[in-house]
Amino acid sequence: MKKRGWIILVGLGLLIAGGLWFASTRGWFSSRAPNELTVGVILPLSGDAASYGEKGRRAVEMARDLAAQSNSCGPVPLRVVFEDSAASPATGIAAFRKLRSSDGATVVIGDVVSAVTLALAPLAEEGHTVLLSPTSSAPAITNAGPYTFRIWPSDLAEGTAVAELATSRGLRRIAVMHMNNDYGTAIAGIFERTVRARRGEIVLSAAYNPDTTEFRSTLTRIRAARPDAIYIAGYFADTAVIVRQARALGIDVQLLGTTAIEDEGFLQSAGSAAEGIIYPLATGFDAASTDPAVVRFVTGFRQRFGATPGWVEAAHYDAFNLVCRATAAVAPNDPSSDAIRRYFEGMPPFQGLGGTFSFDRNGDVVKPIVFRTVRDGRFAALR
Amino acid sequence: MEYLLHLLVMFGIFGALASAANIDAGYGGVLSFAYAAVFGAGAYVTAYLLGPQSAPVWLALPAAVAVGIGANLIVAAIASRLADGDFAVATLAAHGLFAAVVANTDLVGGPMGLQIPQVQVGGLSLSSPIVAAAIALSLLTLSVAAAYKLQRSSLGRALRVVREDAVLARSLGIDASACRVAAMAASGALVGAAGFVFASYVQFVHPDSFTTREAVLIVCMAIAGGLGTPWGAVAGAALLVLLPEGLRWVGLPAASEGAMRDILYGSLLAAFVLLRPAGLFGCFVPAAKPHDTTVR
Amino acid sequence: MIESFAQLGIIAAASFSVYALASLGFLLIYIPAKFFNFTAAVPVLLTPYIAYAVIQRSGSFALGCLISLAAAGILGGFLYQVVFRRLGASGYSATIQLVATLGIYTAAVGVIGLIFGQQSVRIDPFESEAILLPLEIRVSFAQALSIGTAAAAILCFHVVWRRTEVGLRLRAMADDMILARILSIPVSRYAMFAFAAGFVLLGLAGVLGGFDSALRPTFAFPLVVVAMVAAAVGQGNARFAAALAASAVIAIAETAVAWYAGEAWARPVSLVCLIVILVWAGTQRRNSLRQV
Repeated sequence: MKKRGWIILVGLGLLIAGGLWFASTRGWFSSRAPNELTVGVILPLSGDAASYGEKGRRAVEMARDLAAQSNSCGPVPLRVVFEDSAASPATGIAAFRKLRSSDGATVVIGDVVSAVTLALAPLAEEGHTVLLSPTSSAPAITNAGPYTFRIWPSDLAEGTAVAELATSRGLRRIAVMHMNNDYGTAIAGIFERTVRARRGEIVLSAAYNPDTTEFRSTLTRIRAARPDAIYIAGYFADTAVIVRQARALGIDVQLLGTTAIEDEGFLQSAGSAAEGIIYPLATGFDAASTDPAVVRFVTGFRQRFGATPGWVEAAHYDAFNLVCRATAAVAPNDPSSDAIRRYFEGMPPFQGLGGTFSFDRNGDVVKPIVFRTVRDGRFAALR
Repeated sequence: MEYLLHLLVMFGIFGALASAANIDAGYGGVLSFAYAAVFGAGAYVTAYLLGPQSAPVWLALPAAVAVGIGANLIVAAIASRLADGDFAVATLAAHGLFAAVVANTDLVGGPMGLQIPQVQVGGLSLSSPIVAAAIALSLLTLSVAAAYKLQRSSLGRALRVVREDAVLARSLGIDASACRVAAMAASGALVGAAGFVFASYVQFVHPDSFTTREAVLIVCMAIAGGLGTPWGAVAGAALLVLLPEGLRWVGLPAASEGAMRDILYGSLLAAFVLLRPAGLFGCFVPAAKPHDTTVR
Repeated sequence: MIESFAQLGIIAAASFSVYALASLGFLLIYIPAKFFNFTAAVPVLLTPYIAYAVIQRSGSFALGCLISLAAAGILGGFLYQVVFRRLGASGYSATIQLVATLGIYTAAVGVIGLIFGQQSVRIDPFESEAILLPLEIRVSFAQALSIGTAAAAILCFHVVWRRTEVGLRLRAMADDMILARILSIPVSRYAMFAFAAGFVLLGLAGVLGGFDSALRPTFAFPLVVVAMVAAAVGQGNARFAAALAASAVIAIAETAVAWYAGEAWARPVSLVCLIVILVWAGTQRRNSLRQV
């Protein structure tokens, strides 16, 4: 039996070695063609956050193809390599190291999930590779170093804005339900502090896990407490379920949500229960905008993928185009990661799907916040 | 190069984990899914001490080992009361418990995780791939050596008698629970140490690094590699660390890469375990219990 | 206060319904298979998605449910014939099979992700209407459906199990398979039936669990772990009453803790319950064996 084990192991080893040799002769290992610049993209393509990874991937593919057609990234062709982080920090690190050493990536776009981005930041620092996250929101990323950038606005701005709106509308007694992850916990914390500072009262604050489907226990408690409003700090799938279950329980108070709920999936899932919910638009992306760039993006995306894009897609699209803009500016002379970093630091305002923005000294962006609601089953501006 | 070094680090760490599983399961006959939780406990203790508490390394490593031993002994305490299938499920539940508690405890960062600064030992940074690879591979060698030693010792022999027939063992004067406790303490120490290596290398601990995926992965490594021999764990770890990474290179259609990987991984695992249950090197096939009355 | 408890009672009842169906299904599968396996997770995962696909195409909710449940049953019978008869004969240990079926389940999750994508989908047509009862209790249509279906299923099951020929034979098989064969019970035929029925119940649990919430490829696992543990209590003699009791304990504990401390704590507490139940049940079994 032992001998067979050896034979199998050696056989497998030969197979893997053969595969690697084959790959290297095909040039899959060589960092890049002398003229090519590699952009790595790390996304959660499997696992719990896979729905976001899928969206991000589609957007980057579309951006890449459009850029290739119009040759807008400068004289050096861009090569995009996707890697799966499975929303796990360790897998993300493997992906990052692979992209950097085997693919020779100069710049890495990633991750969707803050936990992975935070794990990658030290590597970006140590290896001088620019890391650009489209959607990571953890406050800790602000201080993650000069090589880490992100185009998702800080939780601080969003949480404060919603709290100020709520209290100025006379909603003083507010119940909070937040997702038990970096996004939900951070934003809920900021919201609660601001409400209390403005003499409001947090009636109840409860956390739920990302995969929870049954919220009625907490909602029953909220119903008994009779608040003026409920603030739901989560993403669109769970907010939709909470909203439906709340309405079914007869809770008809004002509902407040996060910027993450502006997605087609929210309306489909929540149905008529979503009517009247107020939320901030902090990502700057409005799918219904008449801005020609947005219209082109939305129509193009619908045509190619059969779904309406939301903020995840828009953020990834912008991230790619930012990299494209940077390489166009620096590539002929100095296509290095440091050059791209310096470009980002001093970048003139960039006009993306998420509005016009530039990076502050921490690599964060500041975007104006407008408030929206759901009216007649569609997202609309709040009056 | 850094990618290959990273793979070596993961291979070393998970090889040590699989080796621990082998000590418990291959020799002791106790298959636990809780290793990811014990591993996580070691990693979290390391991160907590090195991060917020800024404790020195010579405090963090023994602490991680001690926590590993303690956690695994708790698992052992439960083991003494449950039969095989029940026990496996209970350890899965215990793992879920750990993951949920850790995600809700703000002391260790809760859902945000804990970041730790670079750990320097005598001028060497523990988070540099080369140093970490050296440490991880040393840990792996240590675990294999420990397993080898155990196999040849009287404790190892006693364990194997307990594994096959607990009643016979008792009649021979072997204290079954003491043996199991000793084995689980040893494996717990290895797992705790692996947690230390992981935390100091990755510099970031988060509940997402210790999910059910990892729990199942460790057991699969031990089984696929082969229970009952020290090399089984090494083979299993090599296979199951390289396989998902190898799948990165396979040209999968763009839109479904994540799903395809799940399919390939899952079916390869099932096929392997079914077609060759002894694993690559194993000399112990967990056999059906004698009074099993399955339909034939 | 009373309104709250009454409302919580309904919530716990709905949770219990889903868990109970899943444990019953699980135990039915356990009779021929004799080991804990994750193949039970497959109908929980697949059935709601099949229902979703049918509903998308035909627009009919009822048709979707019917076809998907029928598919679950057929899948169960098929899996038994093709896989489990051979597995049983090969003498694999319980843990090997547990691990193998976990691999199969992972592959199934991948298949679902491949076909339906990773986005969460909704299968029920109910908006937020609810039935209004006295004491301000509101029962959503989905909850009512869950409770009603589970009650009917449990009743049916009890009748079949205790009062019919089929039930008698299944009980004999559960007790002692070899003796059952000696007594000329067509064991494989009944085993296949048990598998098919178990898959239907599990599929039903999946579909009902998917109502009022979002369906994603990863949603089945927690439900199945709970079902497994509830079934662990009833295994051996296929004590369904014990499994149902365990499901009830878990459902009540989860609801109570979620109300008190938020949903994030419901899972750890229910897992603690689970471990305690397992240990207790294991000790009971050992004690009873010792007395023999």
